[in-house]
Amino acid sequence: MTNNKRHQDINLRQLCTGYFLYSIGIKVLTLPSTLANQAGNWAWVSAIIGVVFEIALVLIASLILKFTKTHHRAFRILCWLLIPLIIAGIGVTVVQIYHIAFTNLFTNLGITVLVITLIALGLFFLTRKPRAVFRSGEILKLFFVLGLILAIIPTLYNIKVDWQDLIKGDASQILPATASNLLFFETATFVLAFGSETRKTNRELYKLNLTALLCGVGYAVFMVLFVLLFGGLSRHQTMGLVDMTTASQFITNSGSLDWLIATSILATLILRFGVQLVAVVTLCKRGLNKND
Amino acid sequence: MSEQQAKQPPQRGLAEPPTGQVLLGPREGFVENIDTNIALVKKRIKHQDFKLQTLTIGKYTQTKVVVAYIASIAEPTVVKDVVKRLKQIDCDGIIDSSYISESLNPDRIALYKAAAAEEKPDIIASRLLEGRVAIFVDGSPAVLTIPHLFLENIQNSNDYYSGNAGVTMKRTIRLLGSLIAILLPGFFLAVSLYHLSIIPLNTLESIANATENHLFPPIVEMIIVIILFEIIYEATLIMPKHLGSAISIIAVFVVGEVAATVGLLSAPTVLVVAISGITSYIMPNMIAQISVLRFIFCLIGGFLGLYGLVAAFIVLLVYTAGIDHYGAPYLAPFTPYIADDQKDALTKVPFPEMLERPRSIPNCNPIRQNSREQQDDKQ
Repeated sequence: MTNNKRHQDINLRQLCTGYFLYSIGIKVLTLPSTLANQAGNWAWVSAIIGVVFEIALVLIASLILKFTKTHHRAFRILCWLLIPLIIAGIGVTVVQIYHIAFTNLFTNLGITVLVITLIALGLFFLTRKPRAVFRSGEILKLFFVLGLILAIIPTLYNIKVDWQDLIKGDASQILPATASNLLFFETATFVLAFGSETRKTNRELYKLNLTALLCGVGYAVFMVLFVLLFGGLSRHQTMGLVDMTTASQFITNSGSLDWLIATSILATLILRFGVQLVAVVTLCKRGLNKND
Repeated sequence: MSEQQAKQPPQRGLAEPPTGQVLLGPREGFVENIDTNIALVKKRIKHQDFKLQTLTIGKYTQTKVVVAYIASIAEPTVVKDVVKRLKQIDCDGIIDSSYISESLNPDRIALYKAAAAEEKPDIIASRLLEGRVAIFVDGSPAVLTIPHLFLENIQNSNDYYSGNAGVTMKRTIRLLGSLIAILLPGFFLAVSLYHLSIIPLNTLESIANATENHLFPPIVEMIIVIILFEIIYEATLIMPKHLGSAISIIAVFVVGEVAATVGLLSAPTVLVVAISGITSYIMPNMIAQISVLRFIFCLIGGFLGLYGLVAAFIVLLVYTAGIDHYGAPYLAPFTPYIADDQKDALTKVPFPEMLERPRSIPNCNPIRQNSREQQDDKQ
């Protein structure tokens, strides 16, 4: 395959960037509203669960790939069974967008944002190029890094560590919400990794796993640090945002940077939604990669 | 006019084109005669692999169109594809290369061009050496090159002729300038209508003072100023040069100064559109696209706020990232990220370090030059 043809495929870096966006973007900056409401200082537990779940799912994906040749039909059926899971994931994402869109921060713009989201998704389909979604991720990653830097640097001026926070609260209530939040992108990536669109080898999938592992570990570390530094989630609990905006207020003289965080979330949600739908279409249209 | 005169029409002399002026470097520009234009490129590429393929397009105009490429560098499939598309053109006539440009775009409705248009032989020669295909059209001083990347809009001849110092900064400014041109009016509307909390108090007070008791709501005001700006731009473009400067003076004093003083338009709105207007000229080949996008983003910012702006920006990004004309991703080498091509993207390394041709552009000969060590060994 020539270099140029290789550029037409979704490459490993783009998949890894996708993982980075979802792990760092969604799971660090956002939590489901109910989860954040109930979690308090124990929100970091969701990070640990997230890591375990994430690694397990992607490892299962690798194993299925490894044994596809010997147990072709059975494992293909297994893979097809993932479709309802992905569809369920899409449903949950829609609900999540709906809830976030109707929070106070979005006020009456919620509906219009939702409409734009749908238009964006329509465009994904119009392009009929799944790679466009992943390529956008490569650019969006830069915006994320910029946003994170803007949000995190000022927090260094406001460090208050309270070790007691780590052993307070009740983590049991957050488990179901956390589990439901972790089924989305992994399944989509799994399908894409197997789909003929991506033509990934086992070795590349292992690299993907490594990225997932690093993202997961990074996520856990970040959440623990966050709880230690800020003592849990405060005024954005109801909308599911981790409160980095408090610290971000240092940036401007008067206002907060709520919009920065919310914007990042919306961006990832749109992208994630797009990836999920593209995953379903890819699988339905092209099936699994038979050559690998 | 005699038949002999008609066969040899008068020709404009070579001059530096207004679109590609340089401080240092070649000043020759193309003219309306295709043979002269080809000769100007042949003067720079003398190798036998420089190939020309001649076609005649247009039922009545019988316009001569020449596809030029370097056979040992250009990807044969791209050449074949270009020639195939040109042969498919069935029309009354080709007046200018822009007619061909639109026909070469694989997308029916497209925001971006599939082919770049240049008026200087040195630029065309350098693009041919990167593996692109050039299309000369008789009667047009603009020569098309395919494939076309977004990156070409932030590159400039001066970057190559005036040394490496500051090239990265200049290219970054060009990129930022285009983003400011597109997003600033929409961003200003979104912030002043929906996200007042992020404006520092002093600035907010100034904006409030400047906009109170105004005739139009902010969004209407912004649209009026943008439309006025476009009218002035069009008028300046069409009018003779001396009248153009008169129009500029009227625009500055009447629209800018008097309208703000009388209270018809607010000063911040005029300022925002003025900054956006100036920055839009930073990419001369994208002025039309920037104008359209500025208007769309202005409406979205005014009606939907920052969230709408971001969602729309993502839509634009996905659309742009999905463009693959003639085997070259439009946003390459930024996405898909091609590490080797970063040597001449936002940053630029000295020419001796550019050992390979850009991978973003399909080519069949990736090596551009030997390294300094290899050259020393040869000696």
